[in-house]
Amino acid sequence: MIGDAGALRAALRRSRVMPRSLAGRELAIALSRPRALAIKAGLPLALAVVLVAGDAPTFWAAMLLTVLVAMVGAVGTAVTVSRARDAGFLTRLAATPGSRPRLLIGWVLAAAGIDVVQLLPVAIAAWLTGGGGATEFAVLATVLAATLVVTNVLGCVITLAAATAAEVLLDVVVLLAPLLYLGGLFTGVPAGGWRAVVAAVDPFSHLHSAFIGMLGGSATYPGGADVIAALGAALVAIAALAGLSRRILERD
Amino acid sequence: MSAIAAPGMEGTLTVTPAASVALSARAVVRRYRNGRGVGPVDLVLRAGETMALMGRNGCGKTTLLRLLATVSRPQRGEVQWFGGDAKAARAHLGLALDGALEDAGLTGRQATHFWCAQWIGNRAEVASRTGAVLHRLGLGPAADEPVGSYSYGMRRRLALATAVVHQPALALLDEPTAGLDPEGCAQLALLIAERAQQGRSTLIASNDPGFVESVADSVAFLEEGTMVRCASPRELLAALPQGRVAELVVDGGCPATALRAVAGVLDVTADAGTATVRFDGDHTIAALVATADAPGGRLRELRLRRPDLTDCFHDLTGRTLQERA
Repeated sequence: MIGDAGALRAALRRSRVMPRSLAGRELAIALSRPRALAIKAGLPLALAVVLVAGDAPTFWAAMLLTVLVAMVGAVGTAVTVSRARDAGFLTRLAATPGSRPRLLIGWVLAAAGIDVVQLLPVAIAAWLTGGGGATEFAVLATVLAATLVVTNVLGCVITLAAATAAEVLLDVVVLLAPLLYLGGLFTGVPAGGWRAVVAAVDPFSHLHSAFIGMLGGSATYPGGADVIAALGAALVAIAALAGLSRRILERD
Repeated sequence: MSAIAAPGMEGTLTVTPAASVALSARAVVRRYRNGRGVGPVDLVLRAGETMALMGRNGCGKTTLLRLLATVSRPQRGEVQWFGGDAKAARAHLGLALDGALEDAGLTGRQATHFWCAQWIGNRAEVASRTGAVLHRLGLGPAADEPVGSYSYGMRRRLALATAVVHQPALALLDEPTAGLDPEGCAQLALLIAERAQQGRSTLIASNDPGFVESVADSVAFLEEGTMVRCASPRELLAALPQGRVAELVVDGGCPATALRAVAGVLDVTADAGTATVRFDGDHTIAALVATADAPGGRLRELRLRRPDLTDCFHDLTGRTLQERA
């Protein structure tokens, strides 16, 4: 029996994902830590359940969930990239023959994909308890995915400013706080003026709006506007990442 | 002429083992705001040649290695790889950095597989090379264990495995013997020798004189970012005076003046508790021991060796390799 168990463990080890790309590597790393994966998926869900089941005011519940999405995406990637730089991983990547923009975009999209898997249960919880329809859920899921791409790109780019993996956490907060404020998360979106214009292109404002709509409140924007603005922001973020890829990989 | 290529690799690199230049740097400069960095440096590495960079910590070895690895750009001067530019060169490079660590959650096989796949498209070839290089560097039994469970020496072996798994025409290895046991050093030396026989070039940054002497065709000494000498180990060692070297560790401070006065002593380099004495005499050792173990000091260690590349460096620069730049 003991021999069988050993053989089974050995077979499981051999069956592990053999990564060929950064996306595959991210997946392999995530699967190697099932406990961390369960905690990362469970904590946001627990927070969402507490908020929606506790009848928290819709505006504030949506705000907290949006902040959660922003932090999960940006912090995770910022720390990962920062540690990868400290470990010499980025330098080694820079010496490989692959296209640098493609390498980094693939990496960030993979990280965003894992974050979507982690945070989709939050959207589902909001759907099940908030009373929104399938269209609202589709809007929320799309805006959530696009916003996670934006936050992962922000997390990757912010490492250019930080000297260490610890410092990058502070830099993420410094970067996100004004973006969340300008998105009207704390004060609501003004009816006119420059802040209304800024909020209209801020993906966090649209994710907030989509969460409000999903939770049964009065959404700030129409669903179509949320989707277009969030996808547009994701495309701009990816283009910016491509432009900065050399600097990100080659920074000492 | 021979062709070096891996199946699935982008392009085929054709080299003439005796004459082709794998790497050339002309008047290359890369300086940081604090004045540290490297250059101007001229360097030529031919196909099949192994070159070692030696110099004190902070003298610019790693900066130069980053330039030659295409991951930073010179402020002045020009680097060419196989006669071409950095972008084309990356298809033929392998890089192992000092301190580079793989993610603790990956297994050694997963980590090596990932790096190999950056150069080689064929899945079966990637799997086969991954297994072969891990076995070759003594990691076969631990290949499917998480990197987090590896010792420091095993992680260093893994870093080397990931750098050479795709059999690059030019491998750049930073401090390759750091953390390796004697068996690991011997395996690495054999690997480098085989690469040379296949027409592949290797550039190492190392201050391990024994290892460098055993693998390098040429040695470049760097001091404060500039190259003070580049020659074969044989040529460098031949320039040293005859004799032996005694390394003394003395509690209570080294009596440098008294050691210099001993008959047969050619040169003494000393700091607070250690002295390196070059001597050429039949009865000098006994006199050195008596002098170092005199009242006021206590000889704790005595090592005898033949002169090596660290002595060459000292003769050229007046400094020891252990000092920080």
